[in-house]
Amino acid sequence: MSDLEQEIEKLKKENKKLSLESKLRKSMAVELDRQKDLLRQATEEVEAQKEKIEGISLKLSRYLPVQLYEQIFSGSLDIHKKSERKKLTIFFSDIVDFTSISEQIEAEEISEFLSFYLTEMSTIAEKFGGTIDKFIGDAIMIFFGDPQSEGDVQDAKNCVDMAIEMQNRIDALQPYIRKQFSFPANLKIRIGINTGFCNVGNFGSTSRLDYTAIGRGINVASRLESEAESGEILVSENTKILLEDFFEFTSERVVNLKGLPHPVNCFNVSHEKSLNRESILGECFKLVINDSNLSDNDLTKLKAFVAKYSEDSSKNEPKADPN
Amino acid sequence: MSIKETCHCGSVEFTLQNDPMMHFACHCSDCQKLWGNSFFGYAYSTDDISITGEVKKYSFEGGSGNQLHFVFCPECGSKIHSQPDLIEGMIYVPCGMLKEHYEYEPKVEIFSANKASCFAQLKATAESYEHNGTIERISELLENLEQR
Repeated sequence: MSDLEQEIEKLKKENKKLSLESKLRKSMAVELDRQKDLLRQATEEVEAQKEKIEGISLKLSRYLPVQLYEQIFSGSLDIHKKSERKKLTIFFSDIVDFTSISEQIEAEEISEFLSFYLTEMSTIAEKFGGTIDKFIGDAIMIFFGDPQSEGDVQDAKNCVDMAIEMQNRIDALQPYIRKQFSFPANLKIRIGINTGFCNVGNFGSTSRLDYTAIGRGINVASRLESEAESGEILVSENTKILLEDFFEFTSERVVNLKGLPHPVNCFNVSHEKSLNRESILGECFKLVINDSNLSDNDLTKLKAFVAKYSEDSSKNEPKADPN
Repeated sequence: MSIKETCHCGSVEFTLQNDPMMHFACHCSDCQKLWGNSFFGYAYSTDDISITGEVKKYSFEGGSGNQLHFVFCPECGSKIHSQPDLIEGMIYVPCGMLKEHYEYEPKVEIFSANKASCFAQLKATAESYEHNGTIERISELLENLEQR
């Protein structure tokens, strides 16, 4: 082979190499594009799935108590945990004479009214942290103390504060309701509240669970609601004991509640908002201050009282041992 | 260097220039069906092979959406090589065809999750991909091309 032929062979080989290199680089670019495309498709699918799940969970959230929904979606809910015994404050309400009112109003208006009414009440319940257990027609069951609790007293206080705000809200909405839904009479609701131990958790069959509370405490609250007068908030003695520092309770009465062996003492709660009271309980004293009505005179007395104990505190200190 | 080989019956004769650019194994389902089990063989440039005798070609769309072509002897059915559109300019020759010439030492395997359990530990394999490993294989081919 001549030098020239050798040179030509070498160039041919070089040319083939360059041509293959160019093909390989092109294939790599095509493959990178394909993979990018796959990634984009996968991302789009994930986004679409995410949107779908968000849509579903949003719909689902309207069928569940807010607290329960949050527990489910944060993953903290254990569905295998059946139920727990807890001290709850339970609220029942219903609309006075709703059956006869429904007879006098068109079905569409009733349905619109119920939606409006339950939305108004739910907003208030959520504001106070109540767990809306269920709606039964116009009746509402709410409890405080599960899944989250702020302690027996605060749970009960939140419940009564909520009940007062509901009654006041209904009074405020009266003209609107009469006009908007052609109500024949003023809308009035009755409310029953009880505090007691209940079993709260997941009840039902293996395929369909209901998060709810059961027990005597629930029955008492429900019966108190039936006993309540129009526009009244009727609470059991158990609830009153927890809240004596915060509300005005009037007209004690003893009622025999259907299905319960013993009569129950119950009290009407004034619709005034909870008093702005602060209390401190020691072993030998109890001090309650209603600072919303604290006059200058009261304040002076209070300061003098506290000062007396701070000045004399040295006398209670153990004397130095003379030995 | 140049290697001359034939299919099983001898009707097809082929010549390969140069050494293989890569030893590799592919465990994809298509290979398993068409080669009889996973593909064990070599990557060559399309310029490296010349074939005499009548061959048949079977083409189909692979997992990447690109065509894959199988070239075989119509008499005895021996597969001479396959050719992927995915990596242009390359052919794959099964190691059994070149047993007399090379010791097969696959450095790369792809679709490893799909391999039969008896191939769990391929001795020389340094890189194992559960996907098609195309980018990695092309990078290696480009490196090997430098040394030609």
